[in-house]
Amino acid sequence: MNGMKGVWAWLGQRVSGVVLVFLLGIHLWVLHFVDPGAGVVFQGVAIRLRSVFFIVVDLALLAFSLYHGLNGLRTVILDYSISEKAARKLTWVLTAVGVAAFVYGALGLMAFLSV
Amino acid sequence: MQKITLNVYRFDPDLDQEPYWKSYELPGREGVTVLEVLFEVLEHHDGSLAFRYSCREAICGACAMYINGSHRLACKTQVSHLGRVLWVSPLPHMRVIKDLVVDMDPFFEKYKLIKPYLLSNSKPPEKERYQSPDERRYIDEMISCILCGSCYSSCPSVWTGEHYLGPAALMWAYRFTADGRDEGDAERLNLTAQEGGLWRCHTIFNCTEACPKNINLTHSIQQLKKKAAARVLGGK
Amino acid sequence: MIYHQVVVVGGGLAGLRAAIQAVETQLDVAVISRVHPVRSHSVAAQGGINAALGNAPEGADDSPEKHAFDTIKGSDYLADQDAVEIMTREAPERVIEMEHWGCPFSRTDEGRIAQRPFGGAGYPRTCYASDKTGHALLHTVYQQCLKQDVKVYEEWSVVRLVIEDGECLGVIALNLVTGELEAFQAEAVIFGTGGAGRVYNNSSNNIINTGSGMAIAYKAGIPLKDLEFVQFHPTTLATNNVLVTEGARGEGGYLVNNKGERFMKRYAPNAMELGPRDIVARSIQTEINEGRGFEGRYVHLDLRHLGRERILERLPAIRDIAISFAGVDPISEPIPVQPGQHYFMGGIDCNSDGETRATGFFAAGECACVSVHGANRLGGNSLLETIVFGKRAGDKAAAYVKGKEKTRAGGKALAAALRETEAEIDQLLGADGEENPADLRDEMRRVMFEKVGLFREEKQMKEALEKIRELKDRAKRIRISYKGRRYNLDLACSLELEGMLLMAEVICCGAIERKESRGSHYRVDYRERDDENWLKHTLAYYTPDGPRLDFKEVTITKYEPQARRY
Ligand SMILES: Cc1cc2nc3c(=O)[nH]c(=O)nc-3n(C[C@H](O)[C@H](O)[C@H](O)COP(=O)(O)OP(=O)(O)OC[C@H]3O[C@@H](n4cnc5c(N)ncnc54)[C@H](O)[C@@H]3O)c2cc1C
Repeated sequence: MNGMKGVWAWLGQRVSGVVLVFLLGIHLWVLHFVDPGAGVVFQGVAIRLRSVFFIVVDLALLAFSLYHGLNGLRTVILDYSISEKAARKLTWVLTAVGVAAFVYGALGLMAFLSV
Repeated sequence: MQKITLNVYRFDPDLDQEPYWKSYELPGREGVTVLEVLFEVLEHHDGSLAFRYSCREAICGACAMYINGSHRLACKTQVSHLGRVLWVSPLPHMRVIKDLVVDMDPFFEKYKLIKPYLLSNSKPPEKERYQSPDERRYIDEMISCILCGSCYSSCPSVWTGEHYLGPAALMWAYRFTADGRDEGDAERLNLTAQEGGLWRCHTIFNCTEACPKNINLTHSIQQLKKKAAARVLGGK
Repeated sequence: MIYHQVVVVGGGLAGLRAAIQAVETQLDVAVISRVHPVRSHSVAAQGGINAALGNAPEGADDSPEKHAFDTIKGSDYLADQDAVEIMTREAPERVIEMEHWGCPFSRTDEGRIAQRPFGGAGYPRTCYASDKTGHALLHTVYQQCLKQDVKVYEEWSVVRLVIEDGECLGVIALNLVTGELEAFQAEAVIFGTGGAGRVYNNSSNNIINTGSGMAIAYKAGIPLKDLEFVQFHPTTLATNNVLVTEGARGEGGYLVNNKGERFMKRYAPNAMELGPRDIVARSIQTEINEGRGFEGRYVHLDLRHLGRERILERLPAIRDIAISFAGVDPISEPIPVQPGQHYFMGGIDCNSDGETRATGFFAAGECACVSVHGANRLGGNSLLETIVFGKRAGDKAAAYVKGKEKTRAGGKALAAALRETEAEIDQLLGADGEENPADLRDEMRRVMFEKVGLFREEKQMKEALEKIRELKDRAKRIRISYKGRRYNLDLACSLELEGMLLMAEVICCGAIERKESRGSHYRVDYRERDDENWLKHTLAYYTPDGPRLDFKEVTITKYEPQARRY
């Protein structure tokens, strides 16, 4: 369709940045003002992580921050004019890291759901 | 008037292992420019000094240099504005051919890459194409570029990325895209919206600060990014 | 040895326009230029380019014929009228072509190319891109060269033109970066090397305008035509002679003396500030000489009544220049201006296709004399000349190359010329003379401005000639302090010095010989134009003892010479 490259990555970075502001806002607000878990103790965290709303927010937060952070890292590395092949490899590696981190994080977030 | 001290970066790759600074004590004169001081050295003190010059009126772009910590055109810079001591070196981060003369080839090659000419598939009318004064005014700042290379030399993304198109080339790409007479949007966006292109600009604003013609290059580059994004989102 | 079918010397408007034309015919074309093309002097042109487009409401019935008449009258009838007619006829096409190539002309409210009035013209005919017209045009043609992939040898200075048996074989050029000499063999050579303004003090020209192209052609046996006609621009900045465009007066600026008087009413009561350049320049100089100037050096160009907005919109570069180089903001203060050397009407003798005495050698632009400017050029006509005759020279050169039966074996002559030039340079670098080339050059400039300038007189000019000859002699004993070859500016400038002195000598001889006043050539000892004896072109041929002068008829088609009043 078009030969442009990097537009989505750039656009994604802007969009994820804006979305992160909101998600972080919700996350912090929940933690400080409406924390159903009341206090930083195991029990409290366990209670909080049974709220589907909170889990959805944090899953999104995880996904967007991983994207934003890893894409940012990619941008920094690309600034050093690496070859196109290396750039492709880099994208794959970072995607893999991102997916793995997301799965690992998601498992943690959902640990209390089945209890 | 007081004497001035001129410190010049000297390097002749045929003779010198390393660059060095050389000082000259010169009589000052009211209204004297840095370029005139360089000529004074060349013609009366040291014939080996090399620098570029042509118009001496800030329109040809030949004499961009790094003077007392800023990118400046030597011809337009009044010595009296800088004090008694001058430090003059070539455009930073560019290969030095000799003394203040740098290799501008990479800069011009990248300029050429973005097809800096009107692209149009339609046959032009017999007379001129119409363009409203407002449309013309919109490109006024951009077309005052003199291709002096100051922006290119000041850009951190250029320093680290040898393939990065650089501020001037991207600004010129936008200059044409923003011209209603041009039909090359798709082609030029394909050339510039690449990893070595637009996306290496991180809005550092060094280019804008370095530009001796006061062009806001960063703004133009951002506009071009927006055009690229609008395009993938289905706009035009 | 490097070979190209067509070698264009000069990266200004004329050279690049010729190159584009030749490249479009699929020939192998290269441009050699002393500086990167966009650093050429053309970039500094401010005011505009003439073409009878009739875009301004007051100029709707303008026509190429009227443009031709104004040009011929402005030339004080020394222009060749057939050539002028060609130029004014082709003007609209060339200017519109520039627009089609993307040149950012300023626009009228209807969106057409804007035109402003210029001196000596009956209509607003000067198309402009604010006050950076040369910049807009030169960048546009340079961009077209990039599009066409024209090969450019940047920072190469041509030092010799090789002609054998009346046929041009190529050029010898110095690579400024490495300091090496190289022979360029070509089927056709086109010179677009610009003017020689820097032979004079107080010049509005780029520092590189030393006229080396004219001098090289002259030494190779091509005559120079009408070199005594040197234009002085009325308004250059009193501090460093940067030009203040005629456009500033076109927009309505006033010239004012120290009595606060718009003195042009005494010299050109109808045209006022927009009289032709020679008249306005002499008027200003008269005011200064008669004690009505400021500090005995300049008069005021007052733009204040135009208002801030108009100045910012139409004359932004002039404002920048005035602030940067004179510390004066024209919005609130008048600009100090004085006449300065500006343009060479004369140059390499050629016809309207750029053809010269030597087959295969062409010239266009300011270095050439077609002649369309005669004794005085109108503002806006020289940018026009560069693209009209640049194109025509490119066309003709291409046709010549294509029609050529077989390539002449010029290698031998070129190799010999290369060796000779090499020896000359070695000698120059080796010599341990006592003269500083820059001092000689400065002396020449001063003498030329003082004695062969706006007002001329036999005795003074003879003194000047004597001085120039003395300088020529001393130039044989110059010292080049830097012996290395890499980017040796000292060497490059010294090589040009000889040519500049030759130009100065030709100007003096022509001016002494021409016993009349015509256009820019104003003699206080012969104040009238003398059509009976002097309606003819001067030709100067090189001889080692100074120029041999000859004369040539002026072509008159339908405009009979009349008195020139404004
Ligand atoms: C300040 C100023 C303002 C002007 N404004 C106007 C205006 O508004 N309207 C108008 O019509 N005219 C104007 N003129 C006149 C006009 O600009 C020039 O006459 C015109 O640009 C000359 O163009 P050119 O191509 O012939 O030469 P240039 O632009 O001077 O180019 C000469 C080229 O030749 C090259 N060259 C020279 N010698 C050698 C050599 N030995 N070897 C290799 N290369 C060489 C140079 O590098 C350069 O590239 C103005 C002139 C001045 C001084």
